[in-house]
Amino acid sequence: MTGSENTWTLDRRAFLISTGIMGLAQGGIALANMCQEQETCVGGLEAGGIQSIVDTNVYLFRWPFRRVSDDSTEKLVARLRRYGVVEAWAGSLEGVFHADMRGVNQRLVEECARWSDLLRPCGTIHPGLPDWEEDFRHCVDDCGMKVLRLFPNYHGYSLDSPEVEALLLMAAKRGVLIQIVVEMEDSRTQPYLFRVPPVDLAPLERLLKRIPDVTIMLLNAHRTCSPTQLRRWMESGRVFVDLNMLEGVGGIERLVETVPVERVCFGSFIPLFYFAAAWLKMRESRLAPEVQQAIATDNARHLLEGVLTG
Amino acid sequence: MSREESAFEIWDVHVHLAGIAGQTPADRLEKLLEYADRLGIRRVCVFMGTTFQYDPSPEEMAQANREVRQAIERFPDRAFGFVYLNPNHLSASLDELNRHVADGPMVGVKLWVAKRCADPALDPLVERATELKAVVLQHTWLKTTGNLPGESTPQDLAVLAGRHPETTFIAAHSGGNWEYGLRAVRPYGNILVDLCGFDPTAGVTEMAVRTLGAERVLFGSDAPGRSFATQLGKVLGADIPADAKRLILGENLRRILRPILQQKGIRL
Repeated sequence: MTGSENTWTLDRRAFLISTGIMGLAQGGIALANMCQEQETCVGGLEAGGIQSIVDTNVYLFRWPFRRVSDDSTEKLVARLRRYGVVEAWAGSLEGVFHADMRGVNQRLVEECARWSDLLRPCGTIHPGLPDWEEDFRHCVDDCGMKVLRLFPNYHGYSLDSPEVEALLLMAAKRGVLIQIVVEMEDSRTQPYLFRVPPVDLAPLERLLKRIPDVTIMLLNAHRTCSPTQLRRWMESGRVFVDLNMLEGVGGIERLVETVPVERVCFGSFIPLFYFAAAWLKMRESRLAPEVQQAIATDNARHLLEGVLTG
Repeated sequence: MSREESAFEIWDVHVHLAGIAGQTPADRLEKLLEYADRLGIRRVCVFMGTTFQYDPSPEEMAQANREVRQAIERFPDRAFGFVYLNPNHLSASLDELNRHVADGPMVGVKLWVAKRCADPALDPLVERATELKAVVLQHTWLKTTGNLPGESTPQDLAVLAGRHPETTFIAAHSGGNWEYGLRAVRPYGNILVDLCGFDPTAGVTEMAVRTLGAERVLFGSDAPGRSFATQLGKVLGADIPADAKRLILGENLRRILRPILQQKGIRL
């Protein structure tokens, strides 16, 4: 037995109640009626010191290879709200596969506008497409976007292409955060006829030296990059990382031993991953309340403020 | 603790000692249990020692099992052991099975990637495990990138399970590529699946329940290489009834271990 029996029981009881595994005798909700709310843990959010969450890694619309519970925006929004998410940086799954980026980004903006208090649209830019600069202009000037998302591996270009450097220069100049999606799916489980390796991030260091004012966030990076690599990039420039695909027990604890806490942001990868997986990571790692709050909310907020102010 | 509370204990069917620091195997398990406690996980099944060996020699296999035994004996109320066997060393494996299950505290068998499990060479091990009422947990993956030479697919396990209908098997990782793996094992009611060791991909638990029924699905973490949190999120975050979650999180594992636990006089 680790810890006292009493402590463990209380913690477990609170956990099970909050996740709906037990009937809520005091809350008066019958077990059989707790399908939609059962994985939420408002009590745990309060107990864990997390007041609110900014989720930096969210998608709208459908993944072509399977249907998932939250691939309707209504359901996704409901899930996010139940977990205390106050702002969600939402990209478009259409952007991974479509070539008509104007249409992709327009639909994203329209959908986010229906929940404008929660969803921040993150447009897709494909710098391998002709006239990609117009997509950048549309996203930034017409739609007011501050976050743009790149999929170099799905779109078939390398980070050392001249278009990427041009895009990062434009982003730095206009105060726009660039999110680079390192991978969308474990290569071992990809469809046999649609295999996409992770993004090669080797050119990143050179790009950071050439464009010191650019702000980059790496999404889904942890299977590909070690904390030591991440730290090196963070020392070279304004590089941030989300939590998704961070694995191993106490993953966040171990990550922040190596990289600066202020460069780590909450990211769930909903709807492709279970939101609960990201949320529970915050409980698995023993973090000071101020560190939890920084990762859950403050770092993302400060990041955007920093991008806006240059 | 009330009877109602104990009925909802979360049990984890898939935990390792390799990949976490500790001077002794028991120290490693103690550290793992600290993390497990933070997420309300009450019991863990442990196997394979402090280093991973694809094709362990008889001595390496014995060492791995000694390490697991040392760890679980410090935490008898928190951990069960599964004996790690290598079908390439049949005689030594039978000795290990008898030493740690027949004459020891372990309650299951772990098979990894030394030999594809459809091979008839496994039959004597499975027969002896069945005599002892031990469950057999077989690593299964169907990797888009290609399997190791001795790595079993879920289809391999289906073949083995068809030859041994009285044995309770666990298809570890649901075959990894779970949309294939769940289908492969569906016709064999003596195969359960665990949900661990791959990303917390939305939809896996719903499909497992839809395809196999909640009674054939087990929570596992594959900690410490995987996070207890991400793997638990697959169950707690799934859109399935609360009753199904209770089965997956512990009731199913208690049900399949009950025969051997009763035989060993272990009361829950």
